[in-house]
Order: sequence, then structure tokens, then C-alpha cells
Amino acid sequence: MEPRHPLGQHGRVSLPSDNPVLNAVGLKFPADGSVLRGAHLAVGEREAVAVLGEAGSGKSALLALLCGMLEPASGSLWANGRPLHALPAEQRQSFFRRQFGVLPQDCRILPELTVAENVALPLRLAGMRAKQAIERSRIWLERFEIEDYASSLAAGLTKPVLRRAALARALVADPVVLLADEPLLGLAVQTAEATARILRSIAVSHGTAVVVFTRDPMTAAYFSRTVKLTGGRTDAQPASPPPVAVPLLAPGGEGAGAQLGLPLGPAR
Amino acid sequence: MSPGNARIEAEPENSRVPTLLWLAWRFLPPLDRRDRRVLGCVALACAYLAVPLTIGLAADHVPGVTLLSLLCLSAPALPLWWWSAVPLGARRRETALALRQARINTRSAAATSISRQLAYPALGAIIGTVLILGLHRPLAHALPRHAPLETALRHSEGHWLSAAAIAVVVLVALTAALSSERSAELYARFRRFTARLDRREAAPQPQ
Repeated sequence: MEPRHPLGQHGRVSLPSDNPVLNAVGLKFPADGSVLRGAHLAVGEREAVAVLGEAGSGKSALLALLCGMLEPASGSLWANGRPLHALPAEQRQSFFRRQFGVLPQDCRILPELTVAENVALPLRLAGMRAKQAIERSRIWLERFEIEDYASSLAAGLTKPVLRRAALARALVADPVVLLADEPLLGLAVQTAEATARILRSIAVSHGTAVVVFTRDPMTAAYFSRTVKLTGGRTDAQPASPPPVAVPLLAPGGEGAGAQLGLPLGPAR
Repeated sequence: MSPGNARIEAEPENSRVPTLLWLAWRFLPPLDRRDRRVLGCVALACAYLAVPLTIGLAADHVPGVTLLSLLCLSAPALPLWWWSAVPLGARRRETALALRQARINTRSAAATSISRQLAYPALGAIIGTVLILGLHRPLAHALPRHAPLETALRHSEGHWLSAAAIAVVVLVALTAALSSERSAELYARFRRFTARLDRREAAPQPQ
């Protein structure tokens, strides 16, 4: 049943999954912990989780750490059973590219391409033939109920359509983890409900761990579990058994805000 | 067919090149009227600037007065060049960002998004250099003897082709510099300054 009232969700205790696909333990950024100081997040297969936090609570930093844009000063990150914190930088980036889908808040769609071509782009870059990639992208466009725009140039389409197209693009390569920053921002209530329903159903049908970052309790209420992020700390407990925290390379410390200002997907 | 069976495990590097080339090609046509105007203006400015630049580069010896006249000849195109290069750069940065979000690495995204920033200034510069290559002899004859430009045109035998090639490269490189983020900041500051001057002029005078 669809969650209708956000308050009911807030009272729920955040429980880590037993077998997390994504497991972040004690992430700290930068070295002095001024942005994040010990964030835990465990998301299981087929789970759709919302990370709820006010502006400045460290959501963007957590998202950037989880998708490999930034490196934590300390803490550990496991994804799909692999200790990402222990991998060399190149392997880690390669893993993020293949296994993670990211929807930044400031998502961009290429206006020169049609919506279907935009969605098919990750598949084409992975070596799939154009026709096959377009066919597969149409399946995702149908799921997000924007198949009517498949052949339209992205230039001139409304933001809600482009946002759903960006979601379809993030999911078309069937990532293990989807990280979405405010995916329902700017959508009408009905469209937001439908999109949230699709995200939850994708989590179940594809086994994708969906993590939505938001500051809106109404948005968080659409998802099965809410993890609160306050002052750089999550209210979640580290998943058991907790991996040993391995200190990583110090990312430089200063200028985190400036780095986070870049709404980029994971760099290849 | 279920979308779920599409999980991608391997991404061969060489398979991406045709897609990146296709993307670079797709970025070339202008999208709307404003886009067309910007691209037309940058090509026009480069075509115009290619003429004095090629003359200057081809000349064996450029006296001070000739250099000054070449600079004066270039001056009318400079504002148009800057005005059109700034949105060209902004568009390139937007495109590169969108490409990075579509799982393309930073270097490939930059290389792919630069296609129109190379194509339009290069096209304009080539048109300008072809014009001056064809017209430099008639021009040298038409200009009065001892005119500053006549001196440059007369003492330039044999260097025209290399000068034309260098002029195209220089104009493309300078357009890239003018379309940089730093240049856009300077342009915005300049626009604010001129707008303030305009307001000051428009303010009612005390009686």
C-alpha cells in the first residue's frame, strides 16, 4: 500500500539490512569531519531507502562519497560484496561506472538528442547496437510513462519529462545501486507518486538498491525506510558484521562545498 | 523482454569511439534561432578577422603603421567575436556536464563537446582565409602605392598558404580562450559596468 502520510514514516526506526548491497560504515568527510562525521548507511537488495536531511546536513557529501565522486577521510564502503575502500582508485571508478546509477539533482539531458537517444546513451557507450539500445530505452520510457516523447528532441520538453528521462537513463544499464538526489523535485503530486512507485517496483523487480536523497519528508514517505541525516550523522546503525574501517587518502579537507557544487555523474 | 537482463559488465573502450563521434556530429547543427545567431556570428567574426590576421602573418616585414592599420581593421569584429564566443563556451560546458552524467569520462566528454566550438570558428576562418588568398593580388594592385596594407600585401610572396593555416589555428584557439569560464566572467562584469553607465546617463537631471 502507498504511504500517504509522512509522519507515520518518521517514527520508524531505521534498521540496517541483513545483507546489504550497499554498506557504508562511519564515513567521514573531510578529515576534520566538518561535513560528515560518521555516516552509516546499509541498503539491501530490493530495498528503496530515503536519506532525509535538511540543507547543509551532508546529503550531497554522502551522495558524492557513495558514488565515488569524493573519497572519505575514513570509513568503509562495501557494494555488492566488494570493499570499495580497499580497491585501487581506477578499479573503484570502473566499479562505480558499471554498477551504480546516479541521478544528480541538477540532471542534464542532451537537448540535441531525442529522449530515446538520451536514455539509450549509456547502452550505446557500453557497446550495444543503436537499434537494440533504442528498443531497450523505449521499455524504460514506457515504465516512466514518457514513451510519447521518445522521438521528440529533448530541447523544449518540460522539466518533469526531462527528470523522468534522466531517471530512465540512470536505470537503463540496470545498475546494482541507484543513487538519486531529489528525484521527485518539481514533479506534480500524481507524477511524483507514480515515479516513486516505479522506483520501488524497480527495486523489487530488478533487485536494485534505490537510495533517494531528499529534504522533503513527503518525498521520503514514499519509500520503505527513512534514514535521517542530521549534522553529518545518520540515525542508522552500522550493518552487522561491521567491516573494519580502513583510513583512506585524505581528500584535501577544505573546499568540500565547492567540490560538491559540481552536479556530476560518476566520471569514467 | 525485460529491462532487467541488460546489466552491463564489460565496456570495451573501442566500442565507445563511434558513439562519441556520432555525438560530436549531433552537436553540430544549431538548435534554435538564438543558437543559429550565435554560431553565425562567431563564424562571421572569425571570417572577418582571418583577413587582417592572414595578411599580417604572410607579410615578410610589418612596419608599425601597417600593424596599426591591421589592428584598426580587426577592431570592428572584436565585440561580435567576444559576444558570440561566450555563449558558445557556456553551451560546451553544459554539454560536457550532460555527457559526464551519461557515464562518459571527463576527458571524453570535453573532447566530444568541443566539436561545435571547433567547427564554426574554423569554418569562418577558412572562408576568410580563402577570400584573402584569392583577393590579395587584386587588392595589392587596387590599393594606392605606399598605403600601409599595400606594403604588407606586396612583400608577402610565398607565405600565404602557411599563413592561412596558422590564421585558422590561431582563430580557433583564441575563440576557445574567449569562450572560457574566465572570459565569461569578465564579459558579465563588463556588461554590468556598461549597464551601470547606461543607467547613469538615463537618470533624470536635477533642475
